[in-house]
Amino acid sequence: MKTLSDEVLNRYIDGELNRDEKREAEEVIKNSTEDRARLNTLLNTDHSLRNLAVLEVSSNFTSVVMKRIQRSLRSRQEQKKFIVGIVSIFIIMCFAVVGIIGFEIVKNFNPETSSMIKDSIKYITSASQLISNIFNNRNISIVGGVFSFGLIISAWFFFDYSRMLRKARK
Amino acid sequence: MKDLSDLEIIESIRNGNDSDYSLLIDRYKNRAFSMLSRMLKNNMDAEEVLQDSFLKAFTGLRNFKNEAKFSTWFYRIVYNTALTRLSGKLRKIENETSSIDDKLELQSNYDYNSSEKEDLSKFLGEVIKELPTKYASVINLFYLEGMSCEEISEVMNITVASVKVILHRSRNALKDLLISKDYIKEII
Repeated sequence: MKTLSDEVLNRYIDGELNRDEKREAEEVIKNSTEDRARLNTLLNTDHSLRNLAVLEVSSNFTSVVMKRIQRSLRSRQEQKKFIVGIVSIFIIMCFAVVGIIGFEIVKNFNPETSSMIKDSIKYITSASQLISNIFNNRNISIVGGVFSFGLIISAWFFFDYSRMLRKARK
Repeated sequence: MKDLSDLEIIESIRNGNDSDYSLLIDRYKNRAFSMLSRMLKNNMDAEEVLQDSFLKAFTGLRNFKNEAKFSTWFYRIVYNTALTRLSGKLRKIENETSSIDDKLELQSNYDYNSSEKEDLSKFLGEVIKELPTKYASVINLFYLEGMSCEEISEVMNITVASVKVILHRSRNALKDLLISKDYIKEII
């Protein structure tokens, strides 16, 4: 006598058999008490699983999550402000360097003895001289050192700040 | 307000009403917690992972495309966060890919008494905790969340055929266990 496999019984329960397969399975189930019993126990299990208990989280769960979200939103805003602050300082520093260069050029400018073209060439020459003085072989290590120091300090402050925010968020 | 659909709530959050997110939390927290608790076999871990998942989902809401179902998208986050937690905790817990081909035999050490015997759903809930992670997830998503095999395959990133195999094996294993514990009698 033909018996149905568990696989076929499961597919029968899930309505996955085609019309012919379903008819054939129903025929076997009708004639086989053993298959009918297996189908019934599987149906019982399926029914019990459909009534599976839903577990409940702690009563203040929603408010805890919402607080964490608010904190993370706040810290993200603060992080943005911090980055804008650091970038602004760098921009101000750049403007200061350009200002000093401009000041040096204007200081050396003599309107009585030079024509416009001569003056322009002079500005460019003195500016490039000033820049090459700053970045010459003797000073480059000092400038590089100061710049790197500034970067390291900024990075340290940035990571320390991020760590603090992460801790606060938790 | 509670009758709003998931997409309507998401739209409201995107418009700046962050507090509306609590509606989504209330809607999904218990069912997602049930799944996590049975996956991680620990309520405290489950609650922590669930908090992280809600936080991740909130952060990623702007990447959520409205054509997908929120529940599928959210459960993918929950499932992946749980897997990350599991892999960090015990890497050897189970070789997920090979477990599909292995025969699944369940043995429950759950200590039950006659009064609890009446509460079949409670017993089943405990037994599901003893299923491998993937099996427990499929059972929860299918029966508690009412997801189709296609949706489950999307959440767990496995084929639909694998979902069906897992579902059938879990059901058979649970049936055998229920018979052996005398919860269900084979009606001959």
